Amino acid sequence: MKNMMLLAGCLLALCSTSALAAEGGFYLGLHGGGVILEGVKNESREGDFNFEFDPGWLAGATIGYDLRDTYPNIGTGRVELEVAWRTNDLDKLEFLQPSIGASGETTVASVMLNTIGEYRENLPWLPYIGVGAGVARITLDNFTQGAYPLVDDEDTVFAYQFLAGFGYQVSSRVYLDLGYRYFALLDPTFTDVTGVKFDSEYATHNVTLGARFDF
Amino acid sequence: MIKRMLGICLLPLLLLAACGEDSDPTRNNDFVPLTGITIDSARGDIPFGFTIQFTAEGDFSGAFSRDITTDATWSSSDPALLTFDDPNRGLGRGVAPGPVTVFANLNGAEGIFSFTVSNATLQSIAVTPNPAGVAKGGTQRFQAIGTFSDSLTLDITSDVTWSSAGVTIATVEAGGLAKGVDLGSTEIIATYSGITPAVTGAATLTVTAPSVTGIRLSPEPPILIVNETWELSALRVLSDDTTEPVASAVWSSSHTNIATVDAATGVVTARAVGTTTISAADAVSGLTGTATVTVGAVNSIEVTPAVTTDDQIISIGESLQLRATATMSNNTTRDITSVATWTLSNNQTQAVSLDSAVRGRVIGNAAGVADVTANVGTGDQRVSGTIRITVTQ
Repeated sequence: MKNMMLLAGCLLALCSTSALAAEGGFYLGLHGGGVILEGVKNESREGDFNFEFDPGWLAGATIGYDLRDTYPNIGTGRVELEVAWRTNDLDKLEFLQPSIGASGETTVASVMLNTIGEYRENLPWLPYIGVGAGVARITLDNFTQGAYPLVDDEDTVFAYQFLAGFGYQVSSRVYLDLGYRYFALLDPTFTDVTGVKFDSEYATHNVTLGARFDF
Repeated sequence: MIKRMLGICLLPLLLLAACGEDSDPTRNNDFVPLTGITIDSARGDIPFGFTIQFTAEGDFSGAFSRDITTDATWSSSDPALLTFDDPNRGLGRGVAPGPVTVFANLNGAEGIFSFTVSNATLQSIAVTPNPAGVAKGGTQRFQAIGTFSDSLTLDITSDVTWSSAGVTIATVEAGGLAKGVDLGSTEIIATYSGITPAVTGAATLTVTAPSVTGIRLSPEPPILIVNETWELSALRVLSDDTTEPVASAVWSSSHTNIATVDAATGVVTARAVGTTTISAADAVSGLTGTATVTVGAVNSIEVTPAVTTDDQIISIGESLQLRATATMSNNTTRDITSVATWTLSNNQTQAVSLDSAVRGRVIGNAAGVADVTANVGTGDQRVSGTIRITVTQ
């Protein structure tokens, strides 16, 4: 299912749309927003246990190239390099027996290469969809229940995301952007304080608000 | 404006988050330290020569407790009086009379339990239930209750040796589980040989005629095609693993738009693509058997000689058996030679004819060629496969 979504996203992102006459150019972008991290099921030889998280935040920056009408054979859209940082606080731990509170923080730092297809027929509005792939460093920072530690570990894994949203051209060089991102990691693995390895998950829904500056 | 748009976007996100994969945890919360162990047993003493099960309950920092009987390591203060043959089971065996202390240890925590191995001796054994009955092929579990010299009664099922006086009637295995072998009655005997003379107890077990354990429908149908029929039979499955036909089953289909079934004969007729459950009710046993019938769409048909080494050329007077293989919508294949309708076209010089007695068999009549087609369905739903046959002199 994820592979199909990835393929569909790639195809959509590569779809060309007709464009208004404009030259391509580089841009810088900044964005931030909310992150909802899906409940995490962890699998280990000792059994499965779950994490639940509070809503969190993300911040990111991009540098990219807007194709505009420079490459009609490719289409209209953008290619960008993105660095982002996400964080969610641990809300709940689920074992066979009750947990005694939960605290800790998950942070993910990612570097992504995004390709974005943009529809430029209705300026100043610019609806877009896109896909991205890259690498991320995920940290389970000081997960504890009460006074008792659970895990404090990190892993570096493949990351991917799907993007959709729309931009608004404020001026000839400035755009505002409201978007959604499904951002996920492939099978991060950690070791708990008892030395037991467990396979984890990370999948998020993100709403972002950002600005982009052509230069 | 922006706030309103943000709210509209966040609402579906919250719904998406609620759709996350649910999973019941299976791991113990071993991250909270174990701070105490409580040992318990059904009794505070046991006669020597017999076993008793101890249990251990772990207290995890006051947050919760759980059974740790099989996690803990068991021992006694004097193994000459009470011993644990398996240190991780909690099953103690009295060796000699005297007071002992039982220990259960796990992760640095220790439970302590005072216990006594008594010198009471076994006086008698009662085997229950007595009398008992079981259908041929069925099982009956017996229990051995020992009465001791101090009037103590104790379940000693696992301490005795079980035997049958008539193994052709019933057998019995360790733990007191007897199985009916043939009609008749026999004694199921529990023997304790730890003292001399040995103490025995017995119960009478009568094996009766096998009982009906279920209704089985057979033969299992393949994925049927529309208008195909399939005859099911209902069988009573008996406790001795034999079967007998159900003479007057009442048949029904859960989805008659998918397949109907003749209420008396069990002949299923496929009506439309889908899945239905065919049931056969047996009034004698009061049980009902079910079978799932799937009706599939045919994507394509391939017609080939039935014998793969045969070619498509025959002589006048020679016959050739063809096979129609259907590829179903789920990508499985099945032989539909006997289901398909066979037709001829492009039959120059009346080169071949269809054998009216055997579906898919053609006979060479005259030199020439003919196209032989296997068809299923009608109108827009028709699917066909064709092979060209050449007849030589």
